[in-house]
Amino acid sequence: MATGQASTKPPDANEYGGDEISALVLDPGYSTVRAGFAGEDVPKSVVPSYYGVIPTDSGNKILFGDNSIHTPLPRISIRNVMSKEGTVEDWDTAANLWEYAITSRLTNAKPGPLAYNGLNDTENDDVKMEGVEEQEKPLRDNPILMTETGWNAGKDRERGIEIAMESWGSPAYWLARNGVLTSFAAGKSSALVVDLGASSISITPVHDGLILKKGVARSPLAGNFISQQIRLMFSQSQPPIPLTPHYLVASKTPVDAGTPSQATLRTFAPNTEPDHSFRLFQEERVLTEFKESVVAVWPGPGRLSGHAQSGGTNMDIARQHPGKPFEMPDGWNQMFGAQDRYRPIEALFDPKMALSDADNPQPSASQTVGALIQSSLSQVDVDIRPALLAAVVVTGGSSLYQGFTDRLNQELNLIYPGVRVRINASGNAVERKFGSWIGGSILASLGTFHQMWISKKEYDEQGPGIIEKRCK
Amino acid sequence: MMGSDARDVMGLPSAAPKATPAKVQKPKGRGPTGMIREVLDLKYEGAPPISIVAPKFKEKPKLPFKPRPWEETPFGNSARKDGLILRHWRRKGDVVNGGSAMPVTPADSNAASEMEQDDKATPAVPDSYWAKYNVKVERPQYTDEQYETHLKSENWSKEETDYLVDLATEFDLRWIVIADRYDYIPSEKPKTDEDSMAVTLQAKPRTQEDMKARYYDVAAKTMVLHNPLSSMSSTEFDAHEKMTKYDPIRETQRKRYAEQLMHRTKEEKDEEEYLLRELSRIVSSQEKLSQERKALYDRLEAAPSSARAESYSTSMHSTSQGLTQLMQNLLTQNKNKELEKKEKRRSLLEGGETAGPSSFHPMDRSQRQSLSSAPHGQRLSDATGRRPLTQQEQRKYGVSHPNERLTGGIQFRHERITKAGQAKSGVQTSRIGAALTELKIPPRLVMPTAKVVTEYERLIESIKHLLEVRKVSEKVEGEIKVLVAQKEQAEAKDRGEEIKQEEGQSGGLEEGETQNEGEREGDDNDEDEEKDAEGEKEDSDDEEGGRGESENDEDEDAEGEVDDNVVADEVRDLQGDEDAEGEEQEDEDGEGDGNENMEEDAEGENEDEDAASSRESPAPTTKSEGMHKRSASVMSLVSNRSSKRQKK
Repeated sequence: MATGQASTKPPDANEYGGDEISALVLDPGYSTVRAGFAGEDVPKSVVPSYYGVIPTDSGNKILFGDNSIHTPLPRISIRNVMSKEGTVEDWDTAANLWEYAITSRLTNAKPGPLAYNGLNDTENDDVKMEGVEEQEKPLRDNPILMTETGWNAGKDRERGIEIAMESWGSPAYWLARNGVLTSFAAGKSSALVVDLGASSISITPVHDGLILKKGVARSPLAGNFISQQIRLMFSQSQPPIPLTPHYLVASKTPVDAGTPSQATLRTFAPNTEPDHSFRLFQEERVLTEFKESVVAVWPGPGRLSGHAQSGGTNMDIARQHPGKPFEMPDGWNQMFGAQDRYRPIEALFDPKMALSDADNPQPSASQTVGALIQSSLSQVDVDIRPALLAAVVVTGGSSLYQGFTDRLNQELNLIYPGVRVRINASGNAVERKFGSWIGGSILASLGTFHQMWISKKEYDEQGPGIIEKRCK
Repeated sequence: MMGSDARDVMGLPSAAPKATPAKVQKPKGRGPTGMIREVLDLKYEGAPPISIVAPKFKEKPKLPFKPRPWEETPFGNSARKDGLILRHWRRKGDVVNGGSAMPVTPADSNAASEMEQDDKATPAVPDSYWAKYNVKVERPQYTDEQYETHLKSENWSKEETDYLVDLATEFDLRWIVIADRYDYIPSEKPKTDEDSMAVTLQAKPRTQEDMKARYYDVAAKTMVLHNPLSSMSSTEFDAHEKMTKYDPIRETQRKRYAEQLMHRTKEEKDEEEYLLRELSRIVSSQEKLSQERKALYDRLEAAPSSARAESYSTSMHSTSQGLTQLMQNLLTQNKNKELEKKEKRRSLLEGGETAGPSSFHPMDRSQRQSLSSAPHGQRLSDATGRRPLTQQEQRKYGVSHPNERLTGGIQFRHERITKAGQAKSGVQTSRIGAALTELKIPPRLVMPTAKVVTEYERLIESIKHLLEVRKVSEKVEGEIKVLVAQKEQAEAKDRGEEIKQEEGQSGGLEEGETQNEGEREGDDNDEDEEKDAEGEKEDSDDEEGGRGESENDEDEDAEGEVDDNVVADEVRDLQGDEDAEGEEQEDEDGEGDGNENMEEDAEGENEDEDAASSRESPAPTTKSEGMHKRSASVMSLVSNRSSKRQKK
């Protein structure tokens, strides 16, 4: 009993500097929106940034959440609230999506005071309606910490506080750069954050918990680019590899490797079939599976297009590596050789290896990870460059490819042979995917952070421009 | 149970009716405690040990305290100016860790949402524990007039300076961030016209060093303005010093170097690492070397005192000679050990380059050099792959390659200094010392370089030679005196016996003398040539020495030159004398040629004379004879040799 008693005691706040005020952390990304309570180790609510739109007579019906958007509803089309830049594009829908992410799992719609719940209403009781509205705002008890990308600027930064303060009624708000939060999650106040997301790779130098704006570098060679590479690889192979998403397959029979699939496809009544964007979105899920199970990074030494020291090209050596089988939703399956496994991601390091066609031009050499880090560091004071290279934090879902961090280490050692390079990448996939959310969770639960929040009062006095003054 | 069975067997009446009251009474007469239940059952018929337990829930634990509920507690933060009230979960009745309560002013209470307005009922909310960590940088304060008089700069406008100071305060002097965020846009000045505006709108690009220099300048000056240098505390003064000493040019240069360092290639990096490793190795071996050297010196210095303790006679170590002797003893004692060690080390060195920090003991070096000074030494050192010394270095370290074998044993080079001035006998040593003082050469050389010592040795050698010659001359003089005395005695006798021819005596005496001399010369007739040759050789030797000295003198210092000139004069005198003697000899030879027939007599006489001189005490010396000391000494040399030969 005595031990049980001890466990109900909270850890001494002095031990970790924490003082939780039930703050929320909201970390929107191109692929998913992460939301949860500060002080927890994983976001409780992870919702896709994609949303479904069903056109109806009385306007568009908007669907949020995994359960809705993967269903082939009639005429459903899939959109994303984020732009390809990784910043919010559709603010109105984004606000709704975020509210959905928070209220669906984190905060319930609270019952208001009985006097105002509508059951006891009399006819002439319109006096206190304003107070009711105030009560019904979803986040009236929770300060909220939002994240933004390192290159987010201008009015986009102010929209967040407007939504939080005005439509959610939050008592306090803060906007943090996700690079900073990732470095906090890795336990560092100064770091070079390499974030491989869905829409873009970004390099963020962080010094003493502040980003160095001039050093922020990014390129679109991220998860979506790799998907595109796989699509090109499928279409350019002989014969072309068919890509059929799950929802189209009504039934299938097993077939031998390499032979055409024998599956009956689902048909939709005219005018009820889902939009093409829905098909692309579903194909993306198959590609995600392919990326997770087959694609790997060429382990080196050198580049995949290079020559081995023992003679012969690295491509020849790669052919000797074991392949991996993959089965499409329609039953088509094949063993993918190592050269195919290494190929789609090699362009992140070597632009010459990128597959290209008319719509997808070859990336430039300055867009590779190594070049980005180089250009980022060249913008940073020379005194802290070695320190940054000694604390390279790798995060983001696209960094989870097998062998990625080792390869990155090799590349950096080639670029900076005289400097000690240390890559700090969590082995835990959850920590890697939600790095910036976890950092936000740490930051918002700190006792010393209380004085940082932008309060409702300050917002009321100074307007949304306060973001520029406070959240540097 | 068992009791009733026994009764059945024995056909006794059953005790069953009695059993019920017994059962009832059982609690009463349970019997002695401490017995096992089965044994008791034998005595009293008990019920089977079955307990019937009714199922029931686990009881609530009885806690010694009341549970304390948690409640959402509002709290403020004195580090904030807007009076934001946040809530956290605290146990009811817990002492708030902030301690001090923060009063909520009416302005605060209408601050944010409804939630906070509810809290208006409570007169004060506790302050946050964390408020005390809000620390800010002190901002340099200056007024417009102060700026105009003290802080004006051609490069920086007041607005930009203000902007910089604001930014520095904002980012708590994190210069890297300040430089990153620095984005000064000059505001339009109403008084300036369009043209100048176009110029001023162009913001100057500022490097981090520019900003630092400006800020430190402003901060240092305002510091002095608010608090003159004289009344500053030491920390303030230090800060002021640091700020005034900031040098942006040097900083930029340093950064350029740092950047170059970052772009080193792998080879350069490896080389640098290798060099650093070598350096540390050398430093460490140097340390070891000096330690060993110190140990050796300690040992050498400690030896005499320990000897004293062991009731040695310390007098033998009080002189430098004694010390040298002692050192030699100690060295020979350790020689075997050292040699072994050295061999081991060398084999290690030769075995693999990975010998690590290997030190070269000074002893080892001198030993090795004395070893390599053997004829095959050069080859040996080449074979070991060691770097051959240059001529200059050889001279510096005193490496020599003599053709004949050197005296065995280890010698310090400094021994030569003391050794040179010492002779076999103490008398001679003191005489050499006297000669040196006469020449005004200090007994201990002022600058004992290898060359000077060589010259010094040569000088000592010639002094020794001089002394020897002098000794011999004295001896011969003595002999002459004795002979003269004998002759006089003999003449006196003759005079006493035959007083016939008084006049012819003096002529006879003269004759006898010349005869005597002639006889002696005649004895050595066969040797004369040899002797002359020897004399010449000696002359030439001395001449050479003199020449050599004068040649060497050119590179020596003035002092040495003076000394050596004296020596040279001395030597020259000596030469002159000897030459003169040679002439005399020749003359005498010429005389003696005619007296060959008197050989045998002379021999006999000579022997007699020797015997006489040994028998009789030497006659008193006369002044006139002393004048011819040197010539006589040479003659005595000759005579000595001849006499020895004759004895054989």
